[in-house]
Formats: sequence, structure tokens, C-alpha cells
Amino acid sequence: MKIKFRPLRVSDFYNIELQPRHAHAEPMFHANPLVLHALTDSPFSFTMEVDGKPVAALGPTDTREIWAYLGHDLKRHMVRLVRYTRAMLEMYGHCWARVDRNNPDGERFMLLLGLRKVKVDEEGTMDTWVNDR
Amino acid sequence: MKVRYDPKAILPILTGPRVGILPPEQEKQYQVDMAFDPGIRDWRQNFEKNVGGPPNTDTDPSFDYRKAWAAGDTPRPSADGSPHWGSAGKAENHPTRWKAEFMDKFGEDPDAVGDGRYTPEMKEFIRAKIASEPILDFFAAERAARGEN
Repeated sequence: MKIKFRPLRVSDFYNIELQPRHAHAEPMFHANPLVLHALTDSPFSFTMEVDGKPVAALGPTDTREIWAYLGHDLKRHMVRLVRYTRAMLEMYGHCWARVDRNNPDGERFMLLLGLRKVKVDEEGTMDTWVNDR
Repeated sequence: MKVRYDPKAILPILTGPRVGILPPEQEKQYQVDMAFDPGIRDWRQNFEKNVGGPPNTDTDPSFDYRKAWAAGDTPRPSADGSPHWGSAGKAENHPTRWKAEFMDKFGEDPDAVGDGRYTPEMKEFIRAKIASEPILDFFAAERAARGEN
């Protein structure tokens, strides 16, 4: 099994088999190719490949918000993904993210990445997380 | 709020190999500045609030505070207002050392360059630095120091 991290490409958004919890976002992403191109513009965005197949993509937006597009059955690869992402975030500096309040997996991912919860958004449906850089 | 220190976290700071050496008279002034300089005290308080423990100013392998102090560096407000040391004391494997190199090369603050403004050279520079082997080694060493796999 060969794991590789490489710069993000737009095609990755179509090739990653999304985890069910992210499935609701797929039509929105696929309907907005300009957004996908904007996300790939950041040199910090990356894709994780396992045996040549993209399984996860992650990166920051222009406003330093971190987004993640994660495939299903990532369990075996989470340690590598978290270590690489932590290293990237250490180098990137200050960042923030939003996670659905009913998404415990997302909250755990934020904790693993070293972010802390700071507030709930105006609608009360998402938590904002930040790192202390 | 009173900060409670974890003895296990402090032990490596007290017993690790010391980084940076100054002549005795400079060392004395360095100790005075580190204890009483208002800017450094603000930085120390901010650090303790965010991290929950004291900064490692003696044995941190990624940042030499004595070297930074001797170069005239001191904590200055960063973009979000919190005090932050410059790059003078950063070791080769410091996670954000690349930002100073980026500024030297391109004349722009990498944190201020937005999407759509990265030139191909900037992208290549950053991609070569991000999560590169020395940095991953740095984190591997940190994990080993914490007793993790």
C-alpha cells in the first residue's frame, strides 16, 4: 500500500468516494467548478492518494478557513492524514474551521488537528474552531 | 486565571540540552529582559493563556531565544494582535521559518498573499516547503519525546 501526498487537482473532487456524512455537499461542489478551481489555487491544498487513488483532500480558503473532502473508509489512513495535516497547519499558521454541531467525527478530527472550539455560528447549527497560531 | 503547570511537561524544559550561549554579562541582561521587559511579559502571558504552560525559552530545539534577543528581536504584535517573535531565533527545522525565506525571495508576506495572487514560482516554493521531510522529522521527534509512536 503506497500513500502519497500531492497538490490538489479539480478532478479529485470527482474521483474521491465521499463518506456518507459529506454526501450532502457533493452536488453543491460538483455544480460549482469555479469554486473547485479557487480551492486548488492555494499551494497549501493537497490530496492524499492511496495506491494511486485519491481518498482525501484538504486545504485552506482565501479567508484561512480549513475545508476537508474526505472519502469513506479512511480509518486505516487517518493517522498519516492527521500527521501530514498537522505539519501543514503548523507551517500555515492561523486558521479556522466550521463543523456541524451534530457531527462528532468532525469534532474529533478538529481535536486531532489541534484546533479548539470557540463559538457557535449565528444559526446555532455549526461550531467554529480555531488553532492558536 | 491561575495557570496550573503539568510537572511532566516542565521536566524536559528543565533537564533538556540548553540552546544558545551568551557571554556572562549579556546573559545577565538577557535574564533581566526576559523577566521584566513589558513586551516579553505580554508575550509570555499570552503564550501561557493559549498553551496552558510556560514557554520553553532555554531548551527549545526549534527556537533560540538568546540568538533572537542578541539580534535585537523582541515580540511584536502579529496580524491578529497577539505578540509574536520574529524569525531571528528560528532553527532550520522551525515550522514557520519558510515565511521569512518567502519574504526575502518574493518581497511579500505569505500570510497576506491571497488566492489568485500566487505566482507559479510562489506555489512551487511553498509546495517544496510544506510538510517536507525535515518538518515531518521535526514532528516525529516531538512525538518520540512525548512517548508516542
